[in-house]
Amino acid sequence: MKKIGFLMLLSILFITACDKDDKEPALPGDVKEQKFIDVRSYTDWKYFSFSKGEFVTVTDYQNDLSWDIAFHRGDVRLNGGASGKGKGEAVNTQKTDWNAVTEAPSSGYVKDQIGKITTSFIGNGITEEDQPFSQTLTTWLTVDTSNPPPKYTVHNWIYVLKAADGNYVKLWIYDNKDEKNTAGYVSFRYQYNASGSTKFI
Amino acid sequence: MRIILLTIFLIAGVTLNAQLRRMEGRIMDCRSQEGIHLVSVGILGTTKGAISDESGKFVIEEIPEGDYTLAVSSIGYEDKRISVSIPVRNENPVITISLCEKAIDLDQVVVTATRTERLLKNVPIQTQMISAKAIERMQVSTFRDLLEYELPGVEFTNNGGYANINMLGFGGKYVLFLVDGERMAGETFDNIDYNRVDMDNVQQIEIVKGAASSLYGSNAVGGVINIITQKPRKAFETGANVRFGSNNEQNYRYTIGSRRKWGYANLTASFKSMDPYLLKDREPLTQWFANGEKVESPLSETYIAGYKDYSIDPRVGIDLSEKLHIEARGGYYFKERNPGGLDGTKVTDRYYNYSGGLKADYKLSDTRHLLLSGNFDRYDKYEYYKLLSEKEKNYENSQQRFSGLYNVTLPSGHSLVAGAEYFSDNLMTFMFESDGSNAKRDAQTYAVYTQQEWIIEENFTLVTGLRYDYHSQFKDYFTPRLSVMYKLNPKITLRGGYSGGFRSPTLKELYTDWFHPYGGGFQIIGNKDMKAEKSNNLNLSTEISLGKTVVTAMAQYSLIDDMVSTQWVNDDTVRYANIGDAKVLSTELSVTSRITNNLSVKGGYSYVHNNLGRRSLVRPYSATARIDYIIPLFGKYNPTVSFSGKYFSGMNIYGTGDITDTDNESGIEKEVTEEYRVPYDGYAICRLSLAQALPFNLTLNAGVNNLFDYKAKFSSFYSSISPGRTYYVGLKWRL
Repeated sequence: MKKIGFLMLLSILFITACDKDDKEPALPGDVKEQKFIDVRSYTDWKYFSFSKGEFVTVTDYQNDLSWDIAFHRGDVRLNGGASGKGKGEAVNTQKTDWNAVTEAPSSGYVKDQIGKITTSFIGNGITEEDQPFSQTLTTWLTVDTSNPPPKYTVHNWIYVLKAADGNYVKLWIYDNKDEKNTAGYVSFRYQYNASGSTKFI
Repeated sequence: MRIILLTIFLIAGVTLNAQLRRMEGRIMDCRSQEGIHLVSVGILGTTKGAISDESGKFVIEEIPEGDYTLAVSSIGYEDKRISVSIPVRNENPVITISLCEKAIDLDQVVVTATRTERLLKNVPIQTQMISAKAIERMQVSTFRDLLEYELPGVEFTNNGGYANINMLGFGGKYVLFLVDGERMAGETFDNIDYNRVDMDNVQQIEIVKGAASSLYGSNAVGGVINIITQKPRKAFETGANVRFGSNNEQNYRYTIGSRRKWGYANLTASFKSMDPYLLKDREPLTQWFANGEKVESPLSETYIAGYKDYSIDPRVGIDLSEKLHIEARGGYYFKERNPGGLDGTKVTDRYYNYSGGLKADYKLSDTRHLLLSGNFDRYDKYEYYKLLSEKEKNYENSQQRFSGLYNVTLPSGHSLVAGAEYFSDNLMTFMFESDGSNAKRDAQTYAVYTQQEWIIEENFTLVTGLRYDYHSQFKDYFTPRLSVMYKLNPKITLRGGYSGGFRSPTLKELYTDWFHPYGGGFQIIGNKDMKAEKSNNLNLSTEISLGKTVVTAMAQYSLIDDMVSTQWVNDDTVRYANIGDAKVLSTELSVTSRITNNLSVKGGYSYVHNNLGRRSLVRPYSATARIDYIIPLFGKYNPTVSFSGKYFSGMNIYGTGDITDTDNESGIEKEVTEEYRVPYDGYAICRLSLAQALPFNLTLNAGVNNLFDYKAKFSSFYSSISPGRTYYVGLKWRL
């Protein structure tokens, strides 16, 4: 009798615990930053993993799920669409205030497509190649080379994107130069919701 | 008997004494009602006279009774003759005399055109002089503002964030800026650091237009602007000046000085700063192509750099004897330039200037004079990485100059100036070595020169001059001058002549070897086989002095050969070479008039035409106007209201670009290279200011700059960088 009672108590606890798990709200991730990352290379991309919070080495990016986002000078690539097997896609919230974006939008996400990437820039000539990248995220920086020195405009838009695993990430890319104002670097702030939550606060 | 004699003596004595009077008076400025120092008062027909003291008071003793005429004169003021009666009554007369400033003081002394002192009306080479009082009325915050907003014919463009001057068609390389006759080290885009010139410390600015290389050597092709600093005049003087304005503009200045029998000493210290500000395009920069198409650039934002600078300048002059006077001066200047925006939070530019000089002035006789001087100036540039608390030097320019100058006036009135100088220029810049090893390069110039003024007739003066320069790289160079001054009548003076100019290529143009990272990256290399640029300059000017109004008109024509420019040697290398020539024609007209004691007006107009055609980057004409009015309200504390404006004409900048051209018949599109033009509107910038004298030697200054809030529609090298309407208020104290 006592055993059944105890078992029942345990199961009630389990059930309520399970219920609790189901009803418990998913927590947003921590806000982290990466500063002054050297992405000056015209030939190579640098791959970053939100879940690990660090840059990773990738040899075959289109068949690798260990990376979420990649940088190549002012260009950005997500693990999704034409760029990879992941669920990566992005939307531009058009807002410039980090605190104003509190939730991931429900629609408007765009996947990576193939476009022109500059793979070298020597003398008077530019070489371009067809490569997949995120046209949405690459809007973060505008370069005007009509009058030297080149004019860089960082738009400071907040983007919401999906990592390779489909989790939501809030992203703000805010600087294209290093501490000495040499161009070709990237600094960004991100919030990766490992729990899958759509909320950022 | 003795009593009778004594009485006679007494009566005689009293009578005699009763006849000698004392005259006291005070001389004051007819506008400000302030006392004028150093006014000469003389009683005509006698040897009696006096000089007024610092408060304008004078005393003449022991004047026999009677009627006299006083002759009152002072530099800068209209002479006055006053009839005075010494009364027989037992009272001493106290006289108040009011003197008014001259419209343009042609009796002011200038030195730049001839390297000796000459009265402005007698200097044989056209000189424009801006006095300390005129500068004070302009109420400008920086030297660049004075040049940009108050002088016709001067404009500034904003090349990559740095000020670039153009004076009557000549860029920074062709205008020689001097401070007390000495060059300034350090340049950015061929321009000096304009913030180094402290506006409150200036006694006068002398501008000699046209080539003056026969006296000053290299770079004096478009003109010489010589800033002469103030020396103390009173036994003790001190002053402070504080100013606040829009964009967090702050200016603080303090000066203290003394002139005694042994000489003089003074110290000035200043601090000024202003925050960077943002210019936002309202309309796009539009390129109009010949086939009717237009290309619009996206709207962008540009930061205009802010600055923070301070300087300290001590000076001592000692009269070792009646004939020998020596002067030592030093100076330290520091500036931090904040480019604004995100970039400015990480990296700023820091500039350091150290300078010192020694002068010895020996008066051999009343007509012969010897001046020896040595001067040193060094300008360093650093980049300061705020996040790393590190600084990196990328430029150092030091210059030394030793010179001797001898001048003599001959009994016939002729005069001669002869001089010799040694000039050394040392430069270290990151642009010198492609591996970044920052080598130093230097060049020395030895020069001798002479200029003679021949008084052919009382109204006809001939100037001849010749200078020989030996440059360690370019070897010999001769520059001649031939000018005449003809006084048609006492009111009209004509001046004209020919002068040679040259510019030795800079150390940068000779030795650069640097990989320019932008635009894909290309190498810029210098060229040691270049020649000096030569110029031939003709000018003609007339000065008409009609009492209260002075009109000057000037025209000049310059031909510059072997101009140094860059040319592509192959796909990835650019090299300096003597490949250009330019012809520049400029005319300038100015009118200054004192309409009443309280109202004076000034206007100027200038026109520039060069042979560059569509490559020209200069606005063809500009005009200035100024009105100063003293409101007769409070007597001693009358406020002065001033309105000034400068108009810059519009222009087109041409370039070539690739556009897609669709063939009308086949419909095929192809890329063609076509010429486009970018139109720039003309614009005017006006200023309104108020100066109000207050008790305790204070003056309140306040004003509005860019009164009608003009802002360029889009920002580029060739548009105005004005942030729009700005305000300022300041307080000045002078003891």
